[in-house]
Amino acid sequence: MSVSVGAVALSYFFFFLFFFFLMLVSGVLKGSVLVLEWEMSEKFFMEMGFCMVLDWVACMFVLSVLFISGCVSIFSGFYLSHENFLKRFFFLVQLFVLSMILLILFPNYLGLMVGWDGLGVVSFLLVVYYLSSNSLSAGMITALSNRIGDVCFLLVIGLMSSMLSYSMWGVLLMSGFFMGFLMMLGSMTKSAQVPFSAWLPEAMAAPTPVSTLVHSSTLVTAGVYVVIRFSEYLGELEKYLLMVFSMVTMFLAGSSACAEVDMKKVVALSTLSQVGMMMFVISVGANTIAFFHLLVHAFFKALMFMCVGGVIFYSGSCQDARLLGGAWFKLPLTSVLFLFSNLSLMGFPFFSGFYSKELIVGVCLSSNCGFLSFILLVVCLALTACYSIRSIGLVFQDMGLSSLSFYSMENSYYLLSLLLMMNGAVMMSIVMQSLIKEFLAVSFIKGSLFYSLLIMVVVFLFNLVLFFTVSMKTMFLGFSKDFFSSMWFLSLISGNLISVGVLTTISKYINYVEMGWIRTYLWQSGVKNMFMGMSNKVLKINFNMVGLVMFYSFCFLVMVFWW
Amino acid sequence: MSCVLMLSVSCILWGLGMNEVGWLIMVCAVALLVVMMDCPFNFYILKSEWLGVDEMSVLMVLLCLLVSMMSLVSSTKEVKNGFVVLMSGWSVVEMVMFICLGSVLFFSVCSWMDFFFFFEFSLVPTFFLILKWGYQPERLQAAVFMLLYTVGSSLPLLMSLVYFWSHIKSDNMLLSKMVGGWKDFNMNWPWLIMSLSFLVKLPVYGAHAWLPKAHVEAPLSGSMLLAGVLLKFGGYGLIRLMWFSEVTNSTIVLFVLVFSLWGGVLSSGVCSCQSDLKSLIAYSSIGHMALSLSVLLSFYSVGKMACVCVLYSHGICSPILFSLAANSYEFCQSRSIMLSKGISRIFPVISGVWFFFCILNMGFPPSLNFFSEVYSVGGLLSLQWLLGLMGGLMCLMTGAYCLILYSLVNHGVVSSMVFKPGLNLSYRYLVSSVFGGVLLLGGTLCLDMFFV
Repeated sequence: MSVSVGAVALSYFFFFLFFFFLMLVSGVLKGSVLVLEWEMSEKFFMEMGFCMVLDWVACMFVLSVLFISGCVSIFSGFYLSHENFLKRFFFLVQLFVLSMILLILFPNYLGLMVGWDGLGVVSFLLVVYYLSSNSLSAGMITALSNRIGDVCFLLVIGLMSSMLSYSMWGVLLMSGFFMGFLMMLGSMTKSAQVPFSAWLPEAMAAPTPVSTLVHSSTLVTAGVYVVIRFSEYLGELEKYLLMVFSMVTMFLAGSSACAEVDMKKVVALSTLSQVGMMMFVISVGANTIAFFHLLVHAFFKALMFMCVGGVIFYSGSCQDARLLGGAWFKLPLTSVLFLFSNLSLMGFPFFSGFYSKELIVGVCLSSNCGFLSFILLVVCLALTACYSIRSIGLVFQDMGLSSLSFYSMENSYYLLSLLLMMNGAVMMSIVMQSLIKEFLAVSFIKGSLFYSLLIMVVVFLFNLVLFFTVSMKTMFLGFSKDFFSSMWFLSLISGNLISVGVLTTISKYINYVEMGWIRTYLWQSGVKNMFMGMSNKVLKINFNMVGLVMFYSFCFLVMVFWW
Repeated sequence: MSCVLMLSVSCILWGLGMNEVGWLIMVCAVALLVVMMDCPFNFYILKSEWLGVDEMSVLMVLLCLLVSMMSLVSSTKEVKNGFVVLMSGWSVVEMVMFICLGSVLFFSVCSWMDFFFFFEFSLVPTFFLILKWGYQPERLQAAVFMLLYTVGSSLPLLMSLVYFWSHIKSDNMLLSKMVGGWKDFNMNWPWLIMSLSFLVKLPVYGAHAWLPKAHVEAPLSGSMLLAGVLLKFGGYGLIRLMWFSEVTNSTIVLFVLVFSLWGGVLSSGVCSCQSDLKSLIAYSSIGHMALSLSVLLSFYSVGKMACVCVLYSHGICSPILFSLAANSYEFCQSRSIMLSKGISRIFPVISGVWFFFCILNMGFPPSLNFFSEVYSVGGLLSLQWLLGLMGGLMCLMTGAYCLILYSLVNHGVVSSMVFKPGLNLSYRYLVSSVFGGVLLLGGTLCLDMFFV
């Protein structure tokens, strides 16, 4: 097993170094772009080909994906060490990373669909990796939500086929009305925005390495990446819609994470709220800041998932946070890194997440996105703080219910992967800002003391109010727990209601129309009875003397007078 | 000509019993056929008094030969057993060869009467194939329905062809088109009645009930040939008929378009709730054929190209799905979804192949299925936005049932009733699957050849 783990991880790091070399040495950093195009067909008037673009955006993203997948392969050497089919798992993970890289490198709809469809389908396989009925239902809702996005993208390709180019610079040539809207809708399904949010918490039925790679950094950010690449297709109306949906997603995810008990689902919902924030920034217009937040978030979220994975592994695969606790005493490195990644998520000063969040708040203040949306943004930041502190408390405090048995934490794969990801939570943002000048956007806010303290005070007061509300036990509290823990009833609507409704309707349809009308009436009994009845009647005429005479005279008359 | 010579040599060699050499020569014949595809686009060439060549007909002949080869390779049960079932001296191999011969000639002849003759000719060996080598007692009704309704609905076609033959005084497709075709008549209703035969064969949704029965009751090679080749007769006939009959884009044509598109959506929905593996794949055939018919009837040139592409890619993908279903029939002796599941723990390679062909069926890029689906939906979208939306809905439901099919066969634990130690599956299925997979994926690289 160690050979396969080592081989896979080594190959990832090799390619990481390759792209790093490309970036620094060959001048991609200074603005040069490599474009390769492969024309496939000449039957149509337009350029039907796969077009690969290697600019600094693609390079940075590929770098981070490869680094995270290298660490995840080492981590899965630890987490799935008792697994029989480890080679199959690695094969699936490699297919996934290949699809992601194809998606990143080919900003052309024909090439992008290879990565896009591949992502959806391989993530289905990864979610159903543990062959249980729970994971099958999770996999189906994941794959079907992604399939809706595929259909939207198919319609975009259909629209683009009359617009002369499939690539991201097609806006210069011709662009239609619905393309931006459908593209945004497709990306929203992949990035689990409202109303397609129900699949992300369900997909936590996958093994934790899969969640680390897929549901924190790559799959959900694929939609954001497509919107960033094709952001010139978005008009004013689409940007407003995107702002509304992403705001609702942030609020939904933040509030649901405060009431969720499964540790992995809490982290998934925090991913959802951060992705909503990325989409919000795009809708305001600052694509570079959204991309910066994407990269930085990938690193510290992966670290958070790894820490949670370690806690789950050491408590015997128990994911329910009501039975966890006491990691502060038993798993010191894990708890420290979990604390760091949560602080980074909250935007604690000078951690990794601080820089990107500060830029986000700055760009929202200086743009014209409205007073109410700014208030909602601050509320979502407050909710982030709330659920982060809650999850830290759930994992650290020793409630006496701890199921952490005495394991030694000296598994070298685990420690190595944690140490490699560690710098992501702390240093990555500073490193990126120093390397890439576009990330150093500065927005000047004319601030007096009141405004600069306003956000902190609002956050603190909001959390205080929430704390007092939650600790009281009233009937309102009972209802709101149901409301929040099922994601504002979205998970019930998307999963059970729709599938049961559709399948029952189809079964009834099959029973009445398919088996009833078509098979029985048209094919078996109805038409046959009609024809047999008619021919019986004609035959009966011939057996009666009067009928026989009349029949033959009728035929005689017809023949004589028609010819 | 040399291609026909090589085919006949390979058949003689089979008759003499030298099987491997016969296969080799057949593969070379197919390769020669591919090389021959330098016919210019949009031209129809009369090679002789009997045969006419067009890029689409070469593509279809290629499809016939490939599907016959794959079906013979995969039918281990009938060919490789010690006991070979014979019907008055013919075995399954000869029946498949008859169907192949009839299909190849159907796609190559250039006179309308021969076209009609070979249209009905290939039904006879199929009828015998279902009757003699099928497995369940329901095959009697299935074979009778197939024969009766297909032949019955082609009677108006026969009558109209004879009438127009006597009117134009020539039978030849090219010649009668050059003389003027049928432009003297208002072709709306006559077109509908003439194409009724092709619509039943294709099949359009209302007239589709023969298809699941025939597919389910036929033996493996029969199912593969039915799904791969015989359904394409309808599409090919419709394309020729549209070219010849100069029908315009009127309300009748739009009626059939909407009817078939909505029927495709319905049959894709029906697919999700089937309890029989082969029946599921049969209903998926109806959905794909409905998509191709509707984009053909949009009268765009991309419509005809996408239609031919869908016919071709479905014609390769569906027989392989049938052979995989027969695979699972072999190890659990039942087609029901309750018993044949959980093979991802026992046969991982077969499970991988199932996955690959399920996602190919739903249109996974960069395969040929993806391009056919994209340009079908795109063509429909260019006609009317609502039709494009329905095409998208059909793609969604196709994705749904393909994933349902995969998870039904592969997920979960094998039922202990069927799992016996020492179970083994023939690798022949894998060979034909790999062959088909290479074709479908590699078809992207030479897309011009398939977009006719």
